Amino acid sequence: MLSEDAVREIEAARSEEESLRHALLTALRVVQRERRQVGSAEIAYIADLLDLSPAVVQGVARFYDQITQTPTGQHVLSLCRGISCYLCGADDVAAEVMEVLAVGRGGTTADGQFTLRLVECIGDCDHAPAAMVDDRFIGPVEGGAIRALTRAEGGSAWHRS
Amino acid sequence: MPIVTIDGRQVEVEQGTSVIQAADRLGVEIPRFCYHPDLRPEGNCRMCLVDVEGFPKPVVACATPVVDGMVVRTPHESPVASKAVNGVLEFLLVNHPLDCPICDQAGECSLQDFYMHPDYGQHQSHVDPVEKVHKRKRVSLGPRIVLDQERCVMCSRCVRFSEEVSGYAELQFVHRGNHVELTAFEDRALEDPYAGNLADVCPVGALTSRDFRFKRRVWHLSHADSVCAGCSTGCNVRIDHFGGRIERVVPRRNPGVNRSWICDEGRLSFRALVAVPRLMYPRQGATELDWSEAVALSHDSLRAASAAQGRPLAALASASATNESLWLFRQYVLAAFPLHRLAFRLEREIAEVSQRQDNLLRRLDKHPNTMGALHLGFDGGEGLDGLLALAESGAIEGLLMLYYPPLVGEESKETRERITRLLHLVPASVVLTTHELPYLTAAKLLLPVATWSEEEGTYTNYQGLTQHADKAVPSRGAVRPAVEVLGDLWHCATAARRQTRPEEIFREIADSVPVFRDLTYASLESRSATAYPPEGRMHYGQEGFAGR
Amino acid sequence: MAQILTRNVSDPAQRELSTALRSSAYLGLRQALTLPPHEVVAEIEASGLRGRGGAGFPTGRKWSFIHAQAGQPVYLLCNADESEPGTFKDHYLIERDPHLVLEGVAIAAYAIGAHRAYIYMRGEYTGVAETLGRALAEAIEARIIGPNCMNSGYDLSIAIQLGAGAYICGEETGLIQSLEGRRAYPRVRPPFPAVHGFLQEPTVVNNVETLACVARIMAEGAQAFSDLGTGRSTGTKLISVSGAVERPGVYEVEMGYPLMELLEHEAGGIRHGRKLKGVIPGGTSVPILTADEAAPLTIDYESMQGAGTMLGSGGMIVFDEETSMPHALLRIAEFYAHESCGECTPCREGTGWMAWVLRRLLAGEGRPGDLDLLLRVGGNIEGRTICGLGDAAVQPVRSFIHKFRAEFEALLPAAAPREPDWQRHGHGPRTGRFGPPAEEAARSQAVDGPPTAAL
Repeated sequence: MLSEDAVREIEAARSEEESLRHALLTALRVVQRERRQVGSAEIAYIADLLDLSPAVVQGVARFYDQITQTPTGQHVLSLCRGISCYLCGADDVAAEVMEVLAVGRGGTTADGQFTLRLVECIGDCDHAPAAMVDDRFIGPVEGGAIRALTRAEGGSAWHRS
Repeated sequence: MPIVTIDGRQVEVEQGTSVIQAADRLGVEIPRFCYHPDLRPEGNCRMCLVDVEGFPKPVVACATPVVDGMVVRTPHESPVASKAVNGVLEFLLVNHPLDCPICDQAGECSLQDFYMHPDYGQHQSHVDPVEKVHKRKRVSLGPRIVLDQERCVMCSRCVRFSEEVSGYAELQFVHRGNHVELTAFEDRALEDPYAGNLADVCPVGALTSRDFRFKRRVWHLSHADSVCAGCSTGCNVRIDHFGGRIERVVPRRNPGVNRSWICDEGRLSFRALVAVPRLMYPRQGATELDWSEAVALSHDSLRAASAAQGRPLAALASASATNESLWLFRQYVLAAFPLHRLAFRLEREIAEVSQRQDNLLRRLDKHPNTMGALHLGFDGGEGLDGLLALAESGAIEGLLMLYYPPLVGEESKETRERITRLLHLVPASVVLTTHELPYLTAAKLLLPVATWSEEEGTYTNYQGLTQHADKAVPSRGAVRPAVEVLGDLWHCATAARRQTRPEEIFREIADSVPVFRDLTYASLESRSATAYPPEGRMHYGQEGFAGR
Repeated sequence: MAQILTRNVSDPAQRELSTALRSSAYLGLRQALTLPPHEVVAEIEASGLRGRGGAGFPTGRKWSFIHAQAGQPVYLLCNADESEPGTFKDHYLIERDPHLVLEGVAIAAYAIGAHRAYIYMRGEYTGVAETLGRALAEAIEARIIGPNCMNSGYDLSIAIQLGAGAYICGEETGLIQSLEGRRAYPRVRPPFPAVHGFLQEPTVVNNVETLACVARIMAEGAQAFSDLGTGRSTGTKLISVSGAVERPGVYEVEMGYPLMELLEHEAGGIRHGRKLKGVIPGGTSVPILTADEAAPLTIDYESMQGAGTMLGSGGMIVFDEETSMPHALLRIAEFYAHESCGECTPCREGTGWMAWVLRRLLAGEGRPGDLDLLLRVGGNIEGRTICGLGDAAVQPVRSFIHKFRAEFEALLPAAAPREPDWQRHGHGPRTGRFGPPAEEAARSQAVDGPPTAAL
């Protein structure tokens, strides 16, 4: 199910920490990164790996916004809708992005490239309206910028220095 | 030790006691959903908010330890606490489906009860017509439990039970905020052999027992305090019945025995009582007899088979019988048969009496009264196998047997065959039993006796703790309690009349057997399990709230 | 301006150990390791440092609550979950001066007798965590952190743990739960983390900025730190300024610095030359100030408290005159409803309810009494929850409605007040032990409805 590197990363968290359960958060993150989802199959896999009941893994997985039940696109575009970004026009940006990408909130573009998430404050308020592509902050963004972004391959052209 | 004042009443408690425990001890009712005396306190429901002098705001009684001199006022006395609890109740209704008319928890629902409480319930019914968060209803979680997510108040008692007590951890919350749902992974059937307790700990109609739901309205049930006869643990239970029928069995709390739990096998053991047809009338072969005939015939045939030949009577009483039955059984044998072999062991009772089947409650010995039989002078060494050997060598010709089929599991094939062989070998055999069992049909005389739940008596569990079980339902047909039948046999032997009320028999036992010295039914009652919570109403129970 | 924490932030090379060491990084740690731990605690107490995460609890005192048995593990957890809306100072600090934070972590761990520390960062800070991870690797390589730190005989290992998206992980017991691999449901107190924290062992949770201050205090002395600031607010504070200003960003100011000065000078004033309408001084969890209220205030605990608000996390969110306060409040209320962990009843149900009523108001479906309903719901949450999220969710609702009430009232239907809910729904008034309030009692006499609603 996972790459060798990913398994090693989880194993490292397991062996280093005081309890197996402690490695669960890392395991969820790693699996989400690799599989772009933590669905039932992934939950059963992690439960087995960490010797936990699948219900326990599911309970924790379904607590966090970044762990998804269904697969995301190749990239996750997170538009911040926190109060600071809201004050800087985040709603307009979101509306425009939805139109450009032709997806709704939480939706994935037809080509499977982008999943659009509207998220609560991501702690980059000095670049409002803030946004992230995967783990990279790309704010401040405007609708036009996103248009360019989605054309750039995998969004890799976008990284605020 | 700290002394705390709650609603003007003082109580001295051990260091570390929480306010809610102190209040329970005083009998001051504090409403609660998440607190449970046998689960780690979590403080999430906020129903037990109380007003403590010197504290700026109400605190939860379940997680606040008592300190000396603390003055606590509950919602019964404090407007501040009352308002706080009232607010919590209102919150619980915002997303509650309000489907009480079709909810099987009705009558023992804490939410309903609290809502109607004059001291903190009855908010303005200003139910804001918000669009409720809808969740799934009637989710099957296997053969024991049905889940209704919308009714859940997220108290987490079930989650904690399944994590901390049974260890199966099959129930968890998912999501956040008012979208939190209780769920089992992929709705898998619960594997927990203690799953029935989940319905017990649930204070509302979220987890209900598939076995019991929609059978009866709970306020139509009658109750009898009893002890589970499914194994040697002796879990304290309450039998709920209606119209002479047992509808369900629920645990009574006894911290020293079963805390608040029972296993599913024990919970459903009453089903075994009706799984096989009952023996309804005394019988000799295919001929039904009336009781006086049957008793006289029994006594005479046994006397003829043993005393006349100078051979010992084989007397075998299973350790599922009450202490009272065992005592009279022994008294009769001693009085009528100077030569006798008095045994109770069918299998490995003595070896298994304390052996655990799991880490919680179940034990391998499926007889509730092995320790009682030993205390009452039954021979632990010579069991069914010993008697069989004697019969095979022709050393015995008469057999008196008091036999109860196990309530949990089945009698093993070997044991069934041995019993059959023994009955075939012995020319005169009298068996007191409860059911029409194929392996007993070879008995010359069959006398029908009451089962567990149909008679009062005591059982001594693996710890040597003697516990009282009340009679719940009447017997049908000509069935009589074993003590009465044995009393009649004793009369045949001695021509004297004797007391056969269980309480009187127990007094006799206490006078004669050192282990039981000073025990009486009254003392057993007073030390036996408490209902939870103490007032009984907020979960299982029949009394109303103590009128205030 | 006094610069303690942000002295070196403009140099990108500060992330590298060699550069950081030239600007006296780990001097405070070296100093601390020469002292017995209790003297480190005493030094921090003497500095008057108060927690920078939001609650403002004295840091030295928090450390002094740790009383471990011999051999019992103790943990230091650095709270880098920074999720309070409008707050990004920890992000800024770790990204620009990671060694300062690591130094603070090491000193605090030493002071409380911990040999294991975790830095818990919000999941969104994966890139920031990489920066910090590189710095940590360098510090370990240089034998500053690890077994026998700086040849002192003290062993410390530090791990960085990333979250996965949940505001409540910034609450100290929620953080502990999350770190243990559980749902981040805050724990009821007592017991406090100092007694039963991470893995049930004694634990201290400190904010990133707090620990950065600790590093500076140990390097430069408590006196130098407490000389800065005013009253019981010593040192400096990182303020994250965002919203309607020309130059949003992180500014370090000495405690007692005038609020308007910061907005007008450092932050470049209100954008587009507009007027200030209001400012939330410490993240959305503290009450908003109107422009008039904000005008005379200084940035310190006492001044903010005097104005009925709090310094909080220092997340200063600025609203200009064009902002619709009801819309802004809805955005905030939705945040809390989304982030309520769902553990305890008042917050789980109340935050969603408040957001729902606000949505209704803004959809033009407001009902007479909705503002009072919001305030009443808030009143039933406040002080009744396991953790501070409940109280936090109430502050904006109450302060926005009180201070900008006209804007909210304008959303209500103009028609004459409708009869109370309970009449239309046939529900009776409360007839509890303490009786209904007088006016309700009067109303109830006119009603013949059933006394209570069916559940």
